[in-house]
Amino acid sequence: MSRLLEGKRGLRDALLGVLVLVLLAGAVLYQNRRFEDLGFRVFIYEQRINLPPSDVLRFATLGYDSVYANWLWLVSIQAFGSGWRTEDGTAGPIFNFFDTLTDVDPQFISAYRFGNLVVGDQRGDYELGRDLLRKGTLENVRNYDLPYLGIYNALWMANEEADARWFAIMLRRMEHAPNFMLRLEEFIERTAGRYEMAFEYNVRYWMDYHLAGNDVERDLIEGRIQVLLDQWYKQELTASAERYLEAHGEHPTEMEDLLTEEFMPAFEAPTFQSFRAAMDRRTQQFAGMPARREIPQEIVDEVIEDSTETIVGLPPCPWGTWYFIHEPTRIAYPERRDLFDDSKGFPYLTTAQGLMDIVNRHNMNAQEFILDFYREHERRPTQEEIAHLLTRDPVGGHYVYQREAEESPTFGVFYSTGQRRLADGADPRMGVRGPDPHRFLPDGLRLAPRLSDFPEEEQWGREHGYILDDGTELWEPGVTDPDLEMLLPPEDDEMPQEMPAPPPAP
Amino acid sequence: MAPVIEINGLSKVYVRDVIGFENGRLRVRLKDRRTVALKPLDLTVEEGEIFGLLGPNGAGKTTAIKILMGLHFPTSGDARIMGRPLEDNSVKAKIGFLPENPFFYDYLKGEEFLDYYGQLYGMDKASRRRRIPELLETVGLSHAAQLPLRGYSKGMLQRAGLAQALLNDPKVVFLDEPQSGLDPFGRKEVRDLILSLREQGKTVFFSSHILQDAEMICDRVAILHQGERIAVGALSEMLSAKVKEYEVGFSDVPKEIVEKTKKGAARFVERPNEYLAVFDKEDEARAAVRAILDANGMLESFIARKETLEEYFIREIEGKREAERAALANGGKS
Amino acid sequence: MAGKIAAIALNTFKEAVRNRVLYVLLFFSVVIMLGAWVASTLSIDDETKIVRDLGAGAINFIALLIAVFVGIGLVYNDLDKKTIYTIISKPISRWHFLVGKYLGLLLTIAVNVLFMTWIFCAVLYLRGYLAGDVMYEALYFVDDEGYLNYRGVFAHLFYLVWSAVKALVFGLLHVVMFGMEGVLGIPGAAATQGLFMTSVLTILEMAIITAFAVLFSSFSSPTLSAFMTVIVFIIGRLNQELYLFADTMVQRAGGMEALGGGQVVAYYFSVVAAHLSPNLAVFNQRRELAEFQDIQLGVMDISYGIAYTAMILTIAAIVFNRRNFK
Repeated sequence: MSRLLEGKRGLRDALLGVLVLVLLAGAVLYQNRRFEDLGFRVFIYEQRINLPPSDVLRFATLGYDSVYANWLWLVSIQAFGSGWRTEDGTAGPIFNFFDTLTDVDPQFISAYRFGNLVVGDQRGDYELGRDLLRKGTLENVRNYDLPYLGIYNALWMANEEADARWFAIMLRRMEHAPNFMLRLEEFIERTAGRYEMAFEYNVRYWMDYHLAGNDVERDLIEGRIQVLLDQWYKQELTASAERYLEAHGEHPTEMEDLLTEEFMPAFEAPTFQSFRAAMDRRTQQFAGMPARREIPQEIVDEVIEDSTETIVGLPPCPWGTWYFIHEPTRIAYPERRDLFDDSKGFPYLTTAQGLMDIVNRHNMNAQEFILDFYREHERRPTQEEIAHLLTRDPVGGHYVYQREAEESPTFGVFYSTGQRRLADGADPRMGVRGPDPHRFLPDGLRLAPRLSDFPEEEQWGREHGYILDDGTELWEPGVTDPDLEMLLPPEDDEMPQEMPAPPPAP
Repeated sequence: MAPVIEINGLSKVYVRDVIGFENGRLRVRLKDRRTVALKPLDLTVEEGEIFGLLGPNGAGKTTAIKILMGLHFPTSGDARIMGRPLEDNSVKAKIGFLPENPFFYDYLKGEEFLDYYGQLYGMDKASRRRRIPELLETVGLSHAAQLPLRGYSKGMLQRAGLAQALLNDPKVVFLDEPQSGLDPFGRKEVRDLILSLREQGKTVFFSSHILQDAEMICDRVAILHQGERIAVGALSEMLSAKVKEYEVGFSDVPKEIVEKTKKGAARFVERPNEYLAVFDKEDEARAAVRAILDANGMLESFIARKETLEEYFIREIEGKREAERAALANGGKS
Repeated sequence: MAGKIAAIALNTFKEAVRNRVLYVLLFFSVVIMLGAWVASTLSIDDETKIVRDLGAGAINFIALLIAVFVGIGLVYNDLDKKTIYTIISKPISRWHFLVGKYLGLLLTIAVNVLFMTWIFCAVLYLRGYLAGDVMYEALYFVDDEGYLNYRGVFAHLFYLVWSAVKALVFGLLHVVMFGMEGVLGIPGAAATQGLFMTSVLTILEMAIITAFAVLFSSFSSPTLSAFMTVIVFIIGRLNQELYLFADTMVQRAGGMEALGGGQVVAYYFSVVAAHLSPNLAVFNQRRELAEFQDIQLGVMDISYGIAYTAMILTIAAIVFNRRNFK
């Protein structure tokens, strides 16, 4: 053999190379078989999440602690991906893992976020999740993500207003937190029903923005004050309705039923009108003040005092409309409570503003339907095809679809006759953009608009089965299965929509 | 004229660490920690002479030079070069030094190496640029100027070392075993170089254990043995001028002539058909030569040998050893 | 004098640059940085943090390796191979040699750290570019029928090469503009924010470590020097923890009187070591870097570093001045 290869070094090296390759291939194949024998080990991360104490780790990492934290971070993600089982099935060991990780690198924002996601949102242990967020908030005074998530966790997931308030206070101390986050504090108070506190925050915000010359934000705050006062009054009205229910065993039928000393005692609360008046009076005073963040407490207290009135009888709705009992809802509510969100009071207690929101939503749904229909069929729907949307509206009229209309020649016009009447001032009762109504209408005319208030609507109602022979008005023909969903109170706040979804699960 | 180098009672005792590495092993040593490398030494070297510090390996030559160069600190005594103490940088600026078996940064090219050392001497760029090619020419390394020192042979390194020692045009040159590791041709070149340095008026102080070379060029020598100076002086004073013996080399002679010569010789070396006879007396040698010539033999050589430094050296050291042995014997008796 | 020290420093730099080990380390650092890029894709959030973290860690660690493994041989090799004979016999003082060697190594480390910073910035830039939408368009090299679209391949390759060139240029800008290339409005410059400052901190940290390496190297063997330098590094990195450890021990025991004999020794050892060792945590702000926080470098910190280095070098000079070179 060796003689054969004598003097052929190239050939010899090539043969040796082949030998190396063969041996290597064998080694690789053998390894591969061993790996296959290993199988899939589910519990591989069980050991990994039992880390040594963080003191020891800090010693052991020799200053390369954030590198090690990154390693743990990658491990945590892999562990999450593979199910991340724990021995006793609780979130405790996972919490410990993230606790140690964030001990090693306390600035690891993602770890807090992800830890809260896994421990809180996935395992349902919101308390532990909040613990992580609390630690992260304290360690990272400049990060507003974590307290924000903390509020999300505390308020929406766990209903812990006290905890949410703590996070809100931390949030307020941060310099660069976005405005809407700062206003969360007010939101928490409002959600918790502490309207006085919320009102105070808003007064402060209003003055801040006014002094800063930020009229857009100031007007937004003004809108928020209206929402706040509306909620406040509704709470009072609900309380009186509850008293009425207790006394009579049935719900009140008209607003007038409640307006007695027995059910609706006088209460102290700010009114929007007096708040605006108080602010207008102070415009001169504000002109001399420097634009700065901290408004003296005396001024805030003064404004609150000036705004507050003793409200006797029906509270003045902040939008200038009236509170009344919406009859169709009142009729449907005791039967189909499952359809209503009555966590914030009785849904039949409403205002024209609230009803107009419902109408607007219906209109938008209809427009969307028409557009979708057009995309699919390349033509506008006929009256038959859109008939399911041509119902009655909650403000004493019905929905109409004009297939050919001058205003919108392409898709036609969808509108509500009752809404048009209100907008045109043809029905002045609820004061929407019209003159204020009389407080108590003569001739038994009610605030709540009904189809039978107008002859043409009554005729339409009888034709379409909305008015029975005995004069009872229905929301939908045939009480059996009224689709009452659109009667649900509108989303009374924009905040929940502003909340971001928690980080996506990998 | 003031002596260039003055050495007064310079001595060096090495003390080993109690704990240390010896041959790669940790070792604790409590006894025999002191080693005397140099006993108090006095020397003076005058300007313009070639002074040889001679002695066998381990005699303390290198220790002495290292102390002179400031690499070691003396245990006692002091030395002055050109009237200044050893650590004075102004002295260092006027001397050149070639260590034994020199080793330099092997990643540097020949030219870079000299340029670096030139900077250490504080030479400006212009003079470095002028001096370096000149020196490379002198030591015969012009062809290797752009070669990294890694690729130099031992002889080339020795030459490079010489070049760096002469870079600053020194007044005094210290050469530690300048000829070790050189082939005979190279040794001759070094000899010539040293002689030419003397012609330039420089003082050369060198150490060597190769006595023939020293004998050829030195003006004065000192001989060290076991750290002790056993002789110092001009060569001419040390070696007796008279002829010591006569060597006769011959070949192609009949057997009986060989026998005869062998009988008369003080020593006789015999190789196949080649003979060397050594005679103490001149007339005996002459007679032997005549006999060889008469027999039509081939006279290879006829040398009248004077005493060499080597012989002087061996004689001195032998005498020393005898004395020591005697002293030891006496001490043992009493 | 300054000229001679500079000559020694430059020669030391040359020595290091012509050392193959250095290139192995640099190659290794590039591998780590690309590895960090790969590792970041495993994450679901904060990918840039991971890349920055691992990259800055790698730069620091490689700088440490250079400081230790080049530093320890620095003086020792000259003694061992006796090159020092011809240098000390030149008109320079011994401390010139030592300081020159030190500065040379520091220069080597600085150049290498800045080089790695450049590469790292380029990686960060490239990462930003390749994550852009254009990349995905260029990636379509298979057309609708499933055939290779050569134009797509070339577009992809061109995009890749063009991005790499851009990234290298901008990365270089980062280094030569002291980390201020963002003012030019370069796209993606935010990813490299603070990197230069971190590298400067690393160089300062290594200035201290190198001084120790030179000190140990001036009287002990390379292995022992490496060991001792690493020990100093560890204690220096941990000296805050060490102090806290001692403090906690006393607190737990409830006063100094309650400590046992061994504990007292441990206490004093910890406290003394924590005070004597250099505080390297001052220069360890890579975590702030990863979080895009401001890198703080106080005048006191710099002064501390310089003073400490000067002290160590002085000790080294004292030791070196008294040495006999074998």
